[in-house]
Amino acid sequence: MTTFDPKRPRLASFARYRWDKIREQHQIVYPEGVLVLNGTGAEIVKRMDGRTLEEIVGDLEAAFARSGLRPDVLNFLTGLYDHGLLNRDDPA
Amino acid sequence: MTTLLRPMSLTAELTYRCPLQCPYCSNPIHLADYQPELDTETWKRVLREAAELGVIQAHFSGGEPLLRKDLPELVRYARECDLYCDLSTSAYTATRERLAALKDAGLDAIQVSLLDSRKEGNDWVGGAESFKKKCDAIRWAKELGFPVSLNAVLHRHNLDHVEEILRLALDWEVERIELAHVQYVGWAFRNRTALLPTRAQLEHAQDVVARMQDEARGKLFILHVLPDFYQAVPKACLQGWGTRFMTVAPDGAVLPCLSAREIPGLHFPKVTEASLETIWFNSEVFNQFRGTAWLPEPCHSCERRDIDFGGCRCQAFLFTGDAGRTDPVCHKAPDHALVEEALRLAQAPARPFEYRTFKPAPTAATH
Repeated sequence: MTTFDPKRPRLASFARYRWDKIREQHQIVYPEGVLVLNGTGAEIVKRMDGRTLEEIVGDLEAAFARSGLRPDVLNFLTGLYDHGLLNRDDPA
Repeated sequence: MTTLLRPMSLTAELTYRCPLQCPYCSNPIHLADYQPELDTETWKRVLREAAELGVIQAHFSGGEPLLRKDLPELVRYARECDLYCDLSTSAYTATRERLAALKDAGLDAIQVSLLDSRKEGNDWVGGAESFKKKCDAIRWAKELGFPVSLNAVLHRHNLDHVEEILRLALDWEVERIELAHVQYVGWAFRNRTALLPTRAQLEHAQDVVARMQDEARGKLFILHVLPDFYQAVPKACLQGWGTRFMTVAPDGAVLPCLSAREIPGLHFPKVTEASLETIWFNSEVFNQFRGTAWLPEPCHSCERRDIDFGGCRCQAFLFTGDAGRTDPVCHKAPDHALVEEALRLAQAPARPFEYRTFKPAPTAATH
């Protein structure tokens, strides 16, 4: 999906981020499913609170002193979208 | 090793009581044998023990869980234990006030069963006039801000309505729909000849669903669970026995699978006898089909051994009388002819249902 470009990516209303202290894992939980996130994914999801895509990318680049993260973030969001875990009201 | 084996999901079957009588119910046939129901305090202990054991999701189910007056109290407690809570309901006894109480208690999501896109079909299959109540409950749930998932159980009498079902889901603006073909265990096995779709029906429905998945992309998440009877290989039942899922039945029996309790010879410990942790790790029944060492041939030397674990134990038992055999759905199974025979019978005109009841007929009507 090269055209996928959400403005303000947010998790779907039924999906919730949680830290699993027993497994020491970042997770997104939703009805009958759990998606385990890596550290980078978790950093993205924690910033999906109404910020724009550009703000999220900018925050991450500042936090990790990296540049050019936009394609990685988009790739991750596309994965969430394909799992049905992104808010559907967001223009795709 | 033990960290790998921790359960992720608890199905809390609060009651086997239900106002509907769906002939494919996954509850056991001998419903009246499993009483009394656990009390509120015991359920709270179960929820706490489950969370401590590693369970992430509490799936409140039944029967009809709304018949339990303590449901909001249990949901609130489960959320305090950091469990993701969803409710699976027929919505028959839902009221706006009850749903509001559940929202207030922290319920994360609601799944409503939809028996057909048409009122007459829905009410016929469930044996009660539930269609309008489901419509009302879905509207209230949306108004209250719940994410709503429809669970449409598919069989020969509604499979041709799958586009209508998906259009209803779009009209109702629900978040998600699961198109789940009947699993032929429990009551559904009794009624398999009346319920199995034909191959032509299934192929048509697959085309429709694929088209609708494109159309609904970004609006409605459509999960299509294919019927294993028409697959060449079995489903990865439970993703492996005793690896992710556990069920606590209304009477407190702890089950690896909610359909497994009528397999003779298996003993299911109750939550009143031992902790969930002890039962999960140490009980005979959770270890009996765990892993792959127990597998018979042709599974043990099969390249799919670690993919489907020999398939469904309940299905193996129901067809062959031995839960330890290869799931007969598999094309390599020694008993595969039994599934072919069931499919052959399903091409004939449908027979009447045997509805779910607390007083089942002594022998299955559709054998």
